[in-house]
Parts: sequence; structure tokens; C-alpha cells
Amino acid sequence: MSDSAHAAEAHTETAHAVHRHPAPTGFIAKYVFSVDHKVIGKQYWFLALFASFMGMALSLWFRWHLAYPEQGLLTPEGYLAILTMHGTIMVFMVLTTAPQGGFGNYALPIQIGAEDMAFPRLNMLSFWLTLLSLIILLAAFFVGYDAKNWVPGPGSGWTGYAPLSVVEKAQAGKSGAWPQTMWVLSIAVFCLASLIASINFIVTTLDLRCKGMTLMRMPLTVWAWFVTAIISLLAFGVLLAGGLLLLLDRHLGTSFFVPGNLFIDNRVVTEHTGGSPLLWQHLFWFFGHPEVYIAILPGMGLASHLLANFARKPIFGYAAMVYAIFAIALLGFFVWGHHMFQSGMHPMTAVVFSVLTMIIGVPSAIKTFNWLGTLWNSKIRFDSPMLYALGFVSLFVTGGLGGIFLGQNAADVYFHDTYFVVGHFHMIMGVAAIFGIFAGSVYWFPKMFGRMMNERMSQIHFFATFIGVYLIFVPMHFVGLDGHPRRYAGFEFAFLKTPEMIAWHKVMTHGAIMTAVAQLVLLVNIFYSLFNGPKAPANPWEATSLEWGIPSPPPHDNFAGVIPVVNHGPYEYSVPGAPRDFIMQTDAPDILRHSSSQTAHIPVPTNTSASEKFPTLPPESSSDAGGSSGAAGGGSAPSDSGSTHA
Amino acid sequence: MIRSRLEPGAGTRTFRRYAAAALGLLALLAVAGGTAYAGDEPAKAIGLFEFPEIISEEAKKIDSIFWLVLYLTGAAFVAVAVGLTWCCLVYRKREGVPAFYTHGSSKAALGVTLTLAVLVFLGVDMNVVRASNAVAKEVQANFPTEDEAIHIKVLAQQFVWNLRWAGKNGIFGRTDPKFYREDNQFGLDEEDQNGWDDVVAGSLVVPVDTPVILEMESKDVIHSFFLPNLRIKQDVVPGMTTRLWFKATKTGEYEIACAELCGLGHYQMRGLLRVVTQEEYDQWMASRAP
Repeated sequence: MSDSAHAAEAHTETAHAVHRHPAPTGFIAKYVFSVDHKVIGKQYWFLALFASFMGMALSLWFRWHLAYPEQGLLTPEGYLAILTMHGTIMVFMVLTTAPQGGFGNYALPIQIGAEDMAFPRLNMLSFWLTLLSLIILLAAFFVGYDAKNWVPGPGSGWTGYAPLSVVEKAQAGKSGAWPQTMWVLSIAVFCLASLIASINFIVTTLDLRCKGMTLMRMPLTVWAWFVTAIISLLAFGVLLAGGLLLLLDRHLGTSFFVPGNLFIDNRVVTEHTGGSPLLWQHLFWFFGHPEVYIAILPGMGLASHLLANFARKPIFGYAAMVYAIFAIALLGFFVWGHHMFQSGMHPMTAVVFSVLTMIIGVPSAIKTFNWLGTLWNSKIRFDSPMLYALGFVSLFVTGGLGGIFLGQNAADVYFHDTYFVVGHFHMIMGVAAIFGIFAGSVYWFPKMFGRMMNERMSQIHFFATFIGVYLIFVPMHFVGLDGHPRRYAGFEFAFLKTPEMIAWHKVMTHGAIMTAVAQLVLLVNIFYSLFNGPKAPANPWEATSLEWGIPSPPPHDNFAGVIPVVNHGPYEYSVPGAPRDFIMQTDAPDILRHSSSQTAHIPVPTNTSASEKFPTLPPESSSDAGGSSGAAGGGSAPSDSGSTHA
Repeated sequence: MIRSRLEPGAGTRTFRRYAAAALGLLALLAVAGGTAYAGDEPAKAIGLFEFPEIISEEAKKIDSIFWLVLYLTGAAFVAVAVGLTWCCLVYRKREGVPAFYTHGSSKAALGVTLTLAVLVFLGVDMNVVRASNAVAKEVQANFPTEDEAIHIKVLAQQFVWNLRWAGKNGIFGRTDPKFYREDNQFGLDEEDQNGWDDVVAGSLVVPVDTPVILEMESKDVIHSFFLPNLRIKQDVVPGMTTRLWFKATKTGEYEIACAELCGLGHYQMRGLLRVVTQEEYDQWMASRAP
């Protein structure tokens, strides 16, 4: 595209060259042990891709078992093991790695005009630790055997409540032995990786922004990754501590989480005394609730970014969006108790957590309102990234509203630990976040791999998945309303054997199969497009942020040694008087003054007086709107920049 | 061909076709689903809100919170769904009409945003929380006085609910884990005479219209005592005693489930709640007395 070529030209002339590290040669240094944030981002992305199909396969396995229990596809202990592995793989290896480690790593440095992350080697370390963590977790599949049988994982659920997760004999077969240890170890290593990565993200965002990239000019994706990194830093430390204590309890005879006088496997447990099972729950959920935002905030940032991009309209209420992200992140640390309303805490403690939980509804409502405000009077292009972003908004709202039921301490007395909870968190933390991942994948695929994905396959995948996930998770709410407890391997209760329950379980399973088939379309699309997709231009989506001003795929140090200068906010779409319907962040500061209303692609409203002919760009650039020729700083770019489109 | 696919906004054309196809698919699924899943009792099978039968006043109050939240969130859901659909329909790529340039940072936009925030906070959040807290206080905190209620001890173990009444003297016998045996699940100390008349049973038998206080402990891992018909549950945590109370207003047999993952037999941890008349209760108690 000629526009982006111009944009690239604009910054080559404006800044100075800095080479931080030379391009590596050789396959290993380039693609395996790479310190390049782009390669690491792709590595995270592929890791999450593998893990997501793994987790999905496991879910199909027990989903089928629940619809057709008479076929005996799973033993009860096998069911619990597969359930635990599904939850752990999905939460840690998909929802935490793809949005932050994958897209954050790939796009954040480019979007702020940096050549790499602040600590490239730490970045590499965090990826390899994550991979190690995945390998340890997968090992849990294979180590649970004794002479008689084999259990494919621990049976304590992804929440790993003590004492079930501590006392080996409390679980069936060998699932409480090595598989459980592998599970804790994997989580501990993962925490370490995430802590390292979060420091890297924070420092990079604060220190490596290019000239002109003020905080309030950062794309909302960057804000989301930045805040997510802060949450990770504060939350994963707590889980790491909890995980280490759990390991000590399991193997070194401490008793942080296990009280005395337990009677398990026909004998009084003498190894432990004086611990508290609630301590684990507090530590776990102090991490666990912020984890929801670690998974969903990058999706929110991306949805905002894409809604503006494809609606060809500035994001509505940029500042409000930024403050809402911070508000959600902050409040997220004060609501962990709503996972524990029935845990044995004093019931009135729930009041505090209930009120704080409801307050999260305020920034969430503001975000939703601003998304709708962005779409209002816009000019929507329904390219596949936009579809996923709209899907994200829909799922976020549906899932979020489900949370309002659970946030009520009175209603939760009934709903706690039923399928209602499962439906709710899959809707918001699962599928909404995964739609964010879909959106990011389709959106940045051209930049990452230099080829376009197949639009038809993407759209088929979108619609099938969108319908499929509603088919799975909305009935899950209904089953929960009927009181169906979660994590049941079979149906021994009369109230679970009603025709309605049986029918809903079948609907959910069939919805899951449909969704899984749709994911095969995505898989085919990815691998087909990797090799056969049409070559991607630099800026296929006509977007404004920095990554679209450089070639696809970008050169080794992103900007070919020339650091860009940013002159505009991130969402300057359809600016009246502009030569085309978007102004890139690197475009010349005086781009509006050099195009007359005759040549302008975007007409200037006729009722404005001559002096107001050119609208004021947002705050940072408004200072020179009425001035003379003064271009900001060293950023004087060619005056005819980008006027060719019209 | 390839060129057209690279054109920004090319997806819109594809979108129209696939959106129509998706709507068709949805209709097909609705029809197929309605017939395939309904089975012999279609009316029952498609019920969305088939709550278990209510057997206490408190359960009604808990359900009332559900309905209150359902109406409020339902309204919000419809508003957003309509807004989203409307925007998608009206503001499809419009030839020659540019998007309206606004950052939504004007005083008016800010005013609307803040009004929305205040409305959500005061109108919805605080009202719902207030109603919910009032119910939670009644259901979970305001225990009946000691003398009007029947006390029953619950001892959870993998995967059984053990229940114990104090018997004639009204005093529970002393227990100790070292006495746990197949025929003494509570670990009753035989030297303590207070325990000689304790009644131990496998199902929870209670008189109708009488408050019952449960004092619950666990022998091994965390369980959760869940009575769907009473809409209440409470975790039973080893190392501590948790309490629960209820007053059933309808006689009959109801199920007790375990709601916290407790291991292999979690899904089989089935207990029975038998709500009987006072006379039946007295007879039952007399028949169980040692």
C-alpha cells in the first residue's frame, strides 16, 4: 500500500539509528533460542495454539462422557483427572500465555516504537520457563500409574483445594501422588515465568516509548498489556508462595494447609497438624480473581483497538477507557472473597466482597457504553478481526451479567459450585478471552507471518464458533439453576436424572462438537495461510498504530534502525479534512493543513467557519493547530505525506 | 481475485452472506433441537428455569434475589444486544458517508458516561446488594435461638454424610478420632455417659416447621452440604466447625448433595433429607433410642 510506504518513509527521515543487537544468523539462534521479542511472541502463540487444542480435546472427552455416561468412556477418577488437566492447561497455558505472552510480546514493543523488550534475555527465559512448565504439566498425564491402573492426572480440580491436594491417599489411585506434585511444580514454574515477563512488560512500556509516544497516545492494547503486567506482578507472586507452601506440605511434612486429626484411608493422619484449608483458598483466590483480568484485559484492549479500526472512528472516551482498565485491575484485588462465600468465612464478610464485586460493574458498564459509542455513527467494515471483536463484546456482556448473580451473597448460597458458575466463567474468562485471542490472531497474522489469512474460512469459523459456544455455555447456566453441582462424574441423584438435565447435557455436548469442528477450520486456515496466503501489505487493515507503518513481516529490529516519531493519537480515523480516513501515528503533525477540502478524502462539515476549518486534533497536537509552520520537535516530515490516497 | 481479498473492508461482502447463513443455521438448530432433545416430555425438557421444589420461606427469598437480578441484567442484556445489532445493521460500510469524527471526550459525552456510572452504581449495584444482604443476613446469619431449634451434628467423610442427635439428655457425647471405626463413624467415647443415648443415622430426619441447626465437621477433606430444595449450602471444612440452619415447611423426601470436590466418589455423596410431622419425628426418635 502506498500509504504505509509513505508512512515508513516519514519516519526513516525523522529519527536516528540505534542498533541494540545485530540480527542473529543460523536457524537455532534465529528461531529457537531467540531473544527477539517477535520470535518469542510467536513461540508463545504456537505454545498456546498447541495447548488450546489439547485442552479442547480433553473437554470433548469428558463432555461426551457427561452426555452419554452409560458408555463408560471415563472412570470417575479419570474424569476428575481430565477435568483438572483441562482447567489447568486452559487457564495457564492458553488464557495467560496467548493474550499477554503472545500478542503482548509481539506487538507491544512495536506499538510503542521500541526495537525490542527492555530485557530480551529475561524475555527468552520467561518463554522457556513457560515451556518447561507446560512439559511438567503434560508429564502429569503419564506418571499416575501403579500396578493396577493408570490415572491421567491429579484429581483435585484446577483450584487444588487442600487437603485433597495435599494428602496423597485422599485421592483415588495414584492421582494424589506424582500427578499432583507435577501439577504444583508446573504452576510454580509458570508463576516464575510470569513474574519475570511482567517486570519486562512494565519496564518496556515505561522506558522504551519512542519520541512523541506519550502515555495518553498509547494504543489501548498497550494500556491493557501494561496493566495486565502489573496485575501479574502482584498476583503470581502470591500463587508462587502458595504453590511452594503446598509443595512443602506435600513432601516436607509442614502443615500450612492441613489441620490435625484427619482420618483418611482408615487411619488417623499423624503427619499434619494445625494448618488451615482456608489459607490455601485465600492465597489461591487472591491470585485467582486477578487472573480473570489477566486473561480478559488484553482482550478488552484489543476489542477497543479493533472497534475503532474497523468502525473507522476514534475510540469513544479514550481516557475513560484507560481509567476503567485501571479501576477494574485495582478492584480485582479486593474481591477474591466472592469465590469463598460458602467456604466457612463469617457470612457477613461476604457483604464487603459483595459490594466491591458489584462496583466492578461500573467500569465494565463504562467500557461497554464506550464500545457502543464507538460504533455509533461509524462506518463498519466487517472484516474477520472486527467480527471477533464484536463477538468479544457480546460474550463479555453475557458473561459479565452472569457474574452479577454470583456476586450476590444471597443468590450465591444456592449457585455456588453449580454449573451456573461453570457457565459464567467459561463465558467470560474462557470464550470471551479466547475471542480476543482469535481477534488478535487474525488481526496480526499478516504482520507476524507476512501473509493474509483466508477471509472466508475466518468468517465461517467465527459464525460456527459464536453459535457453538452459546450452545455450550448458555444451557450450562440453566442446568446450574436446577442445582446441578459441578465436577460430578456421574448422575446418581434423582434431581439430576430429569429429562431436562439429560437433554441439556446432550445439547451442550453437541454444541461442543460443533465448536471443535469449527476450530479445525481455524487450524486449516492458519497452516494453509502460513504457506499459501496472499502476501500481506504493510497495512492491510488501514490502521493507525506503529506496527502497520513497517513492512510485513517487520525487519529484525522492527524499524530498520530508525526509531519513529509519533505525532498523533492512536485512533485518528475519519478526521475531517484528512487526505484519507485514517491518520497514522507517525504521519506528519501538520497533515491536515496540507490538504485542502477539495482534495480531502474526508469532507469538512460545511457549517464550520473558516477559522475552524480544520478540526483540532486531540490534546497533544492541538498546541500547534493555530500556529505557523512549527512542526513538533525533530519530527518534520515530508509535507505531501500520505496525500496520494484520495 | 486475490487483489479483492486484500482490499480493506472486503470482509463486509463475505460477512453479509455468512451472517445470513448463520441465521439460517440458528433457525435450523432451534427447530432440530426442539424436536430432537425434547423426547417424551417436551414441555419439561425445554423448561429453562426448572428450579428444584421450594420447601422453605428462606428459599423463596433466595429465589427472589435471582429474579430481581434476572430482570435487571435482562434489561441490560437486551439494551446492549439491541444497541450492538442496531449499530451493525445501520452503520455497515456506507459508501460516501464518512464516520462521524468524535473522541467522545466532550463534556456531554463525559456527562453521559458519569451519569451511567452513577446510575449503575446507585440504581443497580447498591439496590441489589442491599436486597441480597438482607436475605443473606436472614438465611446465613440470623440463627434461631438455641432452645427453639433442634441441634444435629453432621460429620462428613469421603463419601458419606453421618448425622447425630443428642438424644434424650440433650447433650452430645464426647468424640475422639482415635475411636473412629466402621461401627463408630463419629468416634464416640464409650466412657462418656452423655453419648450413650446419642442417635446416629444416615439420613437427616427433621420435623416440619421447626428450625434445625446443623453443626458440621469433616473427617478428611472439604465437603459442602448442599440442600437444593432449601437453596442453601455450606462448606464443611476439616479443622473447623461450620453451621447452617433451616426450617422446612413441607414434608417429603429430598436429596442432600455434596457441592465441593471431595475426591473419587464426589458425585455419589448422596444424603437424604426426610421432613416429617412432629409425631412421626417423635416416633422415629423413640425407635432409634438405644
